[in-house]
Amino acid sequence: MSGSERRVVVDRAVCVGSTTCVNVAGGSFEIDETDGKARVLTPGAATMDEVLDAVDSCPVAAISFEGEDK
Amino acid sequence: MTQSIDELSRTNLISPEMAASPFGFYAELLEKSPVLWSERHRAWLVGRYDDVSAAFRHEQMGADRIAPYLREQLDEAGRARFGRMFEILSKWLVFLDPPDHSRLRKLVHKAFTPRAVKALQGRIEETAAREAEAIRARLEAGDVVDLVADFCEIIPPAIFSEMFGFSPEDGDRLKTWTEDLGMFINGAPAEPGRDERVQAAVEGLEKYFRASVEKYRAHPVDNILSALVQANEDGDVLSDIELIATCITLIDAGYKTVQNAMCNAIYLLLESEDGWERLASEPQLMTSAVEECLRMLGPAKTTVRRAKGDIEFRGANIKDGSRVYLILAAANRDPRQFERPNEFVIDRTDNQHLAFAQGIHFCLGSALARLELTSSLAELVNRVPRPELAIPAEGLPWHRVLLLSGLQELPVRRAGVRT
Repeated sequence: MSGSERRVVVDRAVCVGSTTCVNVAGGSFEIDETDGKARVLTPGAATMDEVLDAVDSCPVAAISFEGEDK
Repeated sequence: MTQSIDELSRTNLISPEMAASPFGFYAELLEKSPVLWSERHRAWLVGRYDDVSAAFRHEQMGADRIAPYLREQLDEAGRARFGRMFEILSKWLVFLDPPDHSRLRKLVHKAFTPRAVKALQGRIEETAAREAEAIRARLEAGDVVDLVADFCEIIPPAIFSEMFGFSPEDGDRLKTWTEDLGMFINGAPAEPGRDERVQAAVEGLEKYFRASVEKYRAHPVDNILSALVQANEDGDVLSDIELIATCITLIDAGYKTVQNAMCNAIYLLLESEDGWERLASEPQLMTSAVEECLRMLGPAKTTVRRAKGDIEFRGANIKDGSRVYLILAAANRDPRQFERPNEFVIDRTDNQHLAFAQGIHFCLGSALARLELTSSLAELVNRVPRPELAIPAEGLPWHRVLLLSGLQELPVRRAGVRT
């Protein structure tokens, strides 16, 4: 990382609401009660390691850093 | 379109005809009565894509089918006899609702990580390559080969032996117990002796995994079972019965669903015009091809839910405790969601199928399943020239169970040879 803060995003068209991200990085993700899909919390309380874990663990690869290819 | 709603409601979902081809029925169901009370099964049938998707996220569509079964279907003698089995089943992730589900899934997730799954790739490729070579040689020699027994049923146990650290002999015993347990879990017609076999299977599995858990607790190693034993979330760990139940769940799901997904995929490739050859020459198609196979003929046909409280759902008044059958196989061919739903489109792009479900019960093993399917099928199509069915397609023996689609046998021979 080059000093600038990378913004994490959830592709809500892809999200299946498995809640994996909430399980591994609950400080930075929550489930939207209306559609059962994940949403990023800003500012997030999860550590960068937890967020990276969420990116890697998402079963449908719906989480990424803005501007990066999945 | 030929059946009345009354006829649809009386249809037996596990008749041999429905096991072989339920898709005509599904199409009529989706069209005429998307949420239908089945008189035959005493359950609500839900089949449209949007409805199944919504039901998966509906808080009152409970996953716990065990407590109600125990309460309603078993007398005192049955409860005494099957008590332990139900105690274990009640700890399966697939049967749990929040908050118990959330806690257990979080812990299991610590062991079943993407890194742990990725580490299995070499073993999958090696096993599939070896079996594919043996199949190629036998087909060349003029043999008929059953791809279920000689390919699809071999890969998952080989992978689990790595994940759980068991020997091939243990693998054989686990396979038999898992199949016997499946007779109960998957909604097969009751056969004489079924209950006794299921009970013996659960006892065998419990004893086996209890010993494994004790072994890894004393001497941790680098495999998924050992990681489950060590999994710890702020001091919270899996209890012995949760560990045993989770091992049985993983093996039950990991064996038969992958097996069936694989034989269904091979069947679709054999029936397709040039799918087999295209995958051999265009490996970049493998990912979309596997997704399309999962959509067309995924291993999970139906998932059962139990209403927790009275629910008003798409105009139906679903009473507290009612069973709801979410028919994934119907949703995955809903023309409202998929263009040309009954066509096998090997490079389909917009393919958000429901084969792994959605919501909090989204398949925990989806990454492993995808890896096993893509790697194994690649070895098969690359090493074996496309064979042909050794019996007419209409004679293939499909499982007669409510929840799964798959074949008991898939006999093939070298293409173009008359016997």
